[in-house]
Amino acid sequence: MKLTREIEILNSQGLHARPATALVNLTSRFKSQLFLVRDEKKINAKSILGVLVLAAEKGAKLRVEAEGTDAQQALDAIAELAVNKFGMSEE
Amino acid sequence: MNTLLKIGEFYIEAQEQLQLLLLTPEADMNRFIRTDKLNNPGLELAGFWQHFLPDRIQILTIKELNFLNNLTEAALISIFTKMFSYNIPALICICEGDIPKKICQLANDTFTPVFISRIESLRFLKEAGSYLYSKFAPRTSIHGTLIDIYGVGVLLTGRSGIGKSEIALDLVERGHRLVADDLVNVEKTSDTVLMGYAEKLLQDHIEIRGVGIINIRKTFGIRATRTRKRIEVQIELSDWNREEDVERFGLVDVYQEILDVDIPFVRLPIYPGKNVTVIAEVVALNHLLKLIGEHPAQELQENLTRQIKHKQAQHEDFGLSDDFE
Repeated sequence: MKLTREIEILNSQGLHARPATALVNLTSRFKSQLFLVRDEKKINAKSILGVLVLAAEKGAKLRVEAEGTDAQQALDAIAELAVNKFGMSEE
Repeated sequence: MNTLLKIGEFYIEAQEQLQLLLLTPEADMNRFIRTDKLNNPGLELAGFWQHFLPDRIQILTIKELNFLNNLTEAALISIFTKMFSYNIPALICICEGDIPKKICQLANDTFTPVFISRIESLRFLKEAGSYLYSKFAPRTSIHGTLIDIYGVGVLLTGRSGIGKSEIALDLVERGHRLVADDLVNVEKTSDTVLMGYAEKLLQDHIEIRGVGIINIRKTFGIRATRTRKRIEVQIELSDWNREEDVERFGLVDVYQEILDVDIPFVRLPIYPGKNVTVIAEVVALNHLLKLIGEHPAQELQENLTRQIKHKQAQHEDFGLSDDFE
């Protein structure tokens, strides 16, 4: 089962080191395969270097693809993390 | 720190280095030294005792002794009866000539150890200071393995049986040097420096489960061990756990306190197939890079931030900023 959802980056400084770290720490806990897609780039959402390559700025819209037994939970959790600005309260 | 050092031990150990000669045969050599500091009485000799520090070894140099030589015997008796009544650990005179006999006599009567040293006073103070500092240095022991990797002292810690000794063996095979396995004695030699060394009995030995005790020095030769090494990085090995966050970026340097010294700290979850040996080498090399001011994680972060800002600016050029929406 493959699920997708779109998330928007709300952090004023974009998806820099700290939010990217928060994202991979979250995605690494799921068994599903997780990908982030932006334009022609599709990266593994559990890879910190992959997430950095996206260099997602504020307002960027990313498609999350999830495939696996906990795909739905993963998408929900990632969407929630994005809404919470990846736990970066100071932004 | 509750170190106590008997004057007798001090005399035996430091006698040669400090060229000490005991002048009072009746002295009580079981008196304790309780501090690494020395005291050089000055105003006390002139009768001002309010700030006297009786816990310390008292030092008289040529200057004080010349002053005392010009005093009457009554004055000497008064000063030294007072000084010895504090039960000072010892009195050491650093001079070339003799010291007033009355002082030795009073000391002998009160069982106070009096030494004379012929070496130059500044050198004496430096050597006595460093001897005592090391005797009183804060120390502890840690369950772990200390290895010199490319000149960096790497302390491996982690639960018993996680594989510290096996990694050490692997590192020795690759040309690195074992300092201590299983039990690392740690001595704080200055505010920022921790020295690690092995327990005498265990030095050069390592236990490999399934094989037993190995003598690294005999097996691999003199290049495979060293006796002391500054502890510069700690790597804590832990069992891999999916639920736990692990370091993914290394942007912020993490430290662990040992004897109030901050030691750079890396927590490394391990699982079968992970080559911890090479990772330990990389941690050591990364530490060397940081020492010369390079910080790969921070540099990547800066490049990334620049790229994100650049994109943001492009959006604004095209009127795509949030404000515009």
